[in-house]
Amino acid sequence: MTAPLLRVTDLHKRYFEGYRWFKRQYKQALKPVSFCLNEGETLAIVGEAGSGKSTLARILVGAASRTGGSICFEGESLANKDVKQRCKMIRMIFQDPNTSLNPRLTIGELLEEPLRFTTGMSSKERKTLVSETLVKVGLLPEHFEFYPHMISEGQKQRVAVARAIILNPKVIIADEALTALDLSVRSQILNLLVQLQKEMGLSYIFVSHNLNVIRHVSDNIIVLHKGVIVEQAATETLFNDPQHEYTKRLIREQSMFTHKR
Amino acid sequence: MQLLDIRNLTIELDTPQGKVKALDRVSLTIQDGEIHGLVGESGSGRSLLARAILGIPGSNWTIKADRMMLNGRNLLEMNSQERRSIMGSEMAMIFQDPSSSLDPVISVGSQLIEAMPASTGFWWSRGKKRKRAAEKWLHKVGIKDHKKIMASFPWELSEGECQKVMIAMAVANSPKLLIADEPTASMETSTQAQIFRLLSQLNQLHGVSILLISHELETVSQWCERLTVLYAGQVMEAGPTQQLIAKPFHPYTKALLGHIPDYTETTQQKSILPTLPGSAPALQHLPIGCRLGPRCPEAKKTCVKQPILCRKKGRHFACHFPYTNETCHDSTIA
Repeated sequence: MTAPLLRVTDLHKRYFEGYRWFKRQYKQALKPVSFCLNEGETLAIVGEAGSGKSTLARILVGAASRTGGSICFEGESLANKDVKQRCKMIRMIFQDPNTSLNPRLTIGELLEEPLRFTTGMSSKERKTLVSETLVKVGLLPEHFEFYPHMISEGQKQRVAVARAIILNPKVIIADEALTALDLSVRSQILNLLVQLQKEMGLSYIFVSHNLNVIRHVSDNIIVLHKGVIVEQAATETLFNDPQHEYTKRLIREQSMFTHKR
Repeated sequence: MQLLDIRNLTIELDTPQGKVKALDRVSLTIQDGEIHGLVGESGSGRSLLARAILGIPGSNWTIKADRMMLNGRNLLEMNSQERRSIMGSEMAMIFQDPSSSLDPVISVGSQLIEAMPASTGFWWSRGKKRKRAAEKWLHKVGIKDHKKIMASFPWELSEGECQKVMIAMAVANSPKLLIADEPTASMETSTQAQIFRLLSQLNQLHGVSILLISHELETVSQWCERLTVLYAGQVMEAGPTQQLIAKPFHPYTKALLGHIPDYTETTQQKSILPTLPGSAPALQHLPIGCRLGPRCPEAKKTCVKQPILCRKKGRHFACHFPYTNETCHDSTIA
């Protein structure tokens, strides 16, 4: 069997909280976690607020530093602070498309930025690549000149997806990327992500608390509770036969919101 | 008995691009003691409708309606003083973002006491009575440690606790109608369940009618007896929840239901979900006639004329090509 795309071993994180009797106090946000992600698969991280799921996502994408543990990408260890190398492989989609796009830049400039910083492409090459990517996510090349406030919320999230895939990454991390969206927009974006996965062989890490959507897209699920992985299984196994008490509670609560048809 | 009866409410906004009909002939009826759901995407005018009912219009609004009755009293003929006296006592509202709609520099306790009804009795005992009432309501909405909550500031509390305080403030004057504008936006599933359980408890024990505004059809359908579906400021369909979900008449309702991944049948995992093409229109570029027209799978030439809202056996729908054989004779808009 080939090595998994992303292998995380004993990753943990603690925050400095201040001094007490001249001793440094730490808060353990994430206890050592280990998991693997294969190519073309989707991993979902589920948990309540304060369970460390956002911390985990931020560490993976490089927005936060880790306290210990290792992240291996295609068998190679990712150095703790090598941003340039990492941001080509792992990209992120943020929660709120209204605030994650710079209002002073046109969409073209927004999408060009990652190319300018990490690749040595000429401006002409960048422009063609941006237009191609815009078409790929279901927008028009004319949107190059638009500012973010001129397009609708669903289109903004499409731009965010375009920004994530423009460097041709292997892994995309979506931190609650579908929570703030309307129902119809949400399924459009969901379709787009699924379609891109089929075309480009992307792997996703979904961070969410909506189990309904998770069940639709993910292959494996990790359930986090207070920084500890309490359950880790394939999606259908987890939903049909949850082992841990906490998982059972989550599924029960979710089923309260899904009507019986 | 009808608690709230709105007929053909139209709200026009004065924008730099000219007048825009943000709500177009919306009709809404809420029975006494029911939970009524109002479903729509963002920008469909749900919040405008809520504010128009409560009587806090913006400066550039023009509100027109054939009828707007609350408990047999005409809201349109009242002056602002009478409207103000109804606000808070006969109808109350819970706002979208609880932690930002509470004052951050005043403690939760004093804000809560401020909202309690005026107590009677000797003047020296009134303050104490109001404080007791505030504590009692905190207990009723499911907060056990009232001392700690009342002494803290809104930013120290979690979203769910803030929402519970807001509900306590809204319900303390025992209103007949409670308007809940997205009460569980950006909340955990478990907190959501708590808030909804609380609302339905209030509905059953105190007989409060609730207008529940949300964008999540799956959530709302669980708790409401009747639903109204709004799209771009027009009512698409209204009716009892069970019937509406079992057999939607309107293409838009059907599309909304299709967005929810369904596990009772064998839906293929990672399959493409059915969606409507395009996106909801901006207020400046509203289509003529039925506003769903450009995105509707059933649209034909006649859709440039706005369909009238038909009433059939307790169900309302506005469509030229509904998924039913019954033809429409009896109309509420004549």
